[in-house]
Amino acid sequence: MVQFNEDIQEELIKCTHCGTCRSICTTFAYKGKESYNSRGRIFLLEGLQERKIGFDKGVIDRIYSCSMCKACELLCPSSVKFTDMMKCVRNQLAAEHVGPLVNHEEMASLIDDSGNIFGEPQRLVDLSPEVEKLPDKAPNLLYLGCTVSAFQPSLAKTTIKILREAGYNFTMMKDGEYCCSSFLDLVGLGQNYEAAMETNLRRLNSLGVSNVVTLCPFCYGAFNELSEKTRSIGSQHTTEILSDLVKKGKIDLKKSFDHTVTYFDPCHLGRYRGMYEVPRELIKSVPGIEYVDMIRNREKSMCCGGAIRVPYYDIRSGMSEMIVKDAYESGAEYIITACPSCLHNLSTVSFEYDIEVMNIEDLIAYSMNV
Amino acid sequence: MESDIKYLISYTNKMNEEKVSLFAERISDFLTEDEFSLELAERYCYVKDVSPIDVSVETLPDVIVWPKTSEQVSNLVKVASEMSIPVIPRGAGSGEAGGSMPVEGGVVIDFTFMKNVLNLDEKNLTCLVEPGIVCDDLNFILKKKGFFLPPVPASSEMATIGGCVANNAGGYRTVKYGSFKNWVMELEVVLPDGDIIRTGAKTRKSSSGYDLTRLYVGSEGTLGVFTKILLRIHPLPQCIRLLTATFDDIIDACDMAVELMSSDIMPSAVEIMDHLSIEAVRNFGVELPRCDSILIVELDGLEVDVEQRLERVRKTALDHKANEVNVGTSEEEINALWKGRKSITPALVAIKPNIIDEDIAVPVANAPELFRHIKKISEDLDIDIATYGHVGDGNLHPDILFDKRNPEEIEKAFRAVEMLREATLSLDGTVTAEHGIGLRRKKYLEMEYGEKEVKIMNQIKLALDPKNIMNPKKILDLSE
Repeated sequence: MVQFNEDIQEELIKCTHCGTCRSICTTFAYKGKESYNSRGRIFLLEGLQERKIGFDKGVIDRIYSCSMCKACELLCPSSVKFTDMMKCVRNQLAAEHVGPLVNHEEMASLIDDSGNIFGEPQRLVDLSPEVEKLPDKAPNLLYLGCTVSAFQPSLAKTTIKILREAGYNFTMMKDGEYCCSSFLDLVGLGQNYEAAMETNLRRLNSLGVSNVVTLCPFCYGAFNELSEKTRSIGSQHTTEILSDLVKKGKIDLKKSFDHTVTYFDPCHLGRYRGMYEVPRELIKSVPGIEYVDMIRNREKSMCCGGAIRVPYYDIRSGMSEMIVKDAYESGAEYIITACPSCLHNLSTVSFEYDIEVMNIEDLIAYSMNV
Repeated sequence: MESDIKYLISYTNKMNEEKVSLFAERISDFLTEDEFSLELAERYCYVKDVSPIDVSVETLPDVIVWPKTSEQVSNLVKVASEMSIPVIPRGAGSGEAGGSMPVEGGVVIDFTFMKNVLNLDEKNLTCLVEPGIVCDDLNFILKKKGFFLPPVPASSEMATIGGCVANNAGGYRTVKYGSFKNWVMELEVVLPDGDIIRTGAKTRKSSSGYDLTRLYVGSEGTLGVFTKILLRIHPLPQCIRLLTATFDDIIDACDMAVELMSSDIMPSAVEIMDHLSIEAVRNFGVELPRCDSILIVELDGLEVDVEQRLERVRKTALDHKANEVNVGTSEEEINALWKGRKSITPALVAIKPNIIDEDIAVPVANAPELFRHIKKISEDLDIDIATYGHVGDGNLHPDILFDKRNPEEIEKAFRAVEMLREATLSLDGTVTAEHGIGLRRKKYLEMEYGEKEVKIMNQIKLALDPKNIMNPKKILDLSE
């Protein structure tokens, strides 16, 4: 039986059970059951703490089906740091061999074996001839992340083309990247995450890199933490770089995109890092665009369920569909996002609506005509 | 010391496994696998609501059901009736009187999926909804059409319309618009035997027979289950202004509220915050002036009229020795002030980990006297009581602060609850203005009304629910 540590207990005490989280939690919005809401999960943690329930399948399921999107934290009147608490709980469960789920352990093994969380290692030089042309060392490094390098080669090529066209001085991990492992951190395998970032730090140092540019907001968060820790390496998301290059006139957005679009805020860019306006401004700088916000936007945006896709595919799909529906009802023809994982998840359900999903780099490339 | 709160801890009683299995088998005829659950993790999440910590009945419900239609609810209640299984309707579980807690086990009906707006009649100003729709979601839909539903509680982000009707909820606009009982026109009710009836009328007026709608509003799920609710709605006001006045003495603030309510100014909210509430909110990071007490007055209506009334409120404030008087005009300013008001409870939790939130009300002219009582109780017991609330209708929420890890503080908190309720009744008041009797206030019902009156309530309950399956142990203790 797990005795929760003081940090967890402090957060549990703060919760007044008011249920405000019911109005924002996306897993609850989809499942409609109290146990899939933050308050329900707190009830369960209290029950575990007070030895009134044990770690049965259902309890474990609710602990790991939280997508850690931070939405409840921003609305919580009692300022319960729910995501931090859940991470702490999951770390403690891992330490005491109660967690994580088998699927999570398999992912950790795949990273150990291949460097890629999906077990799909990719030599980036094989991805595009453009990669060969990049310098071996440069101050900036474009880090694709596991999803893009394994499953979205077109997005990778587009981003490389944009940056080369704009004259941006960067390199890549040509022989293959090593997963940032921030996902493992979310499921309570904090030690794996720390080790992965040490590996990445060594690689960055060997390439003479002082700034990491990431497509994926999960990776962005990981390198941001590394940046805060080391003070020697900076971290930027591609939207920041692209926005900067547009402002400096290095990117010429000439081709009109005559459609109504909306922007979906990825949790790990928005709520985790507070970046709401940079992507919106970048989208609005494309000529011809008519921009609309979804009903739930910025800090109140829903979560696509990317962080629980494995093993909760059904919940992920349900959560993603609610976002697509919101976008559709807002009148958008295109959902633009800035996260390869969100792109994947929303794309799996968007076919049911008359709406397309696109990553922001593809929109910029279209307007640049590259 | 005996207390209705302590009493609850001792209760245990559940169905045996065989009965649960049989019940599950029968309801699976009309509910899908996803529409009911026997899973422990799920059931455990329905043990509690927002009630203070020591109202933890700790009784597990046996089954949770998420119906999608009135017919499913009807069928479910029929089976429950035949098998004498308790039925506990639940909205968001945001009540603080234990109204949705399953004291005798049984089946909890969670209305989360019954949240549709079935009709919006813009000419007759009515709106037909299912009980699970959340107050703010309904008002979001209504706002787009130029309407609103005025009586919503501070918990409107999560509270459901069904829950509000069941508790006859009020909120800060009650001073002008009245509580839910003034806004419910018709109800579709599933009776305790599973039959479905319709109460009320679609007309603004009706003198036709007994008013069953008013009987059901505020019945806390003890007489039947609502499955459709026809609400009156109101056009959005053209203009809203919020005035805040600070005072050195809360009695002055109270006197101002009394004068406002006896004038023709017709404010849409008159809220008060005492020194402890203000300090807690300030420490919580919400900007409020440092002072003994604050009165917040909201005016709504046509702009030219609101501006004239605003000047009269400002003068009334100064006549009652207000120090600072500020007016919020923009939506942002108004929202910021209401945010301060709404964050009182969590802000207080930062001072002491546990709170008992009371819901007492007196005739508005007695409000200053009630404040004097609260102050004396706090001093006599040496316990912090933060008081705020809808002073315009005499409804105050004294929050008693304590730490449940300290038995002496628990004793004092329970004593303070008793003294507050007794003081309220001595001032012609009621022990609950908008939260309901539920589990927490049962023993005061007779003190408030008298033996014969409660006997009539018992007779009504037994006439409509002879098997006592509808939310048992709430409001009344039939077995005692």
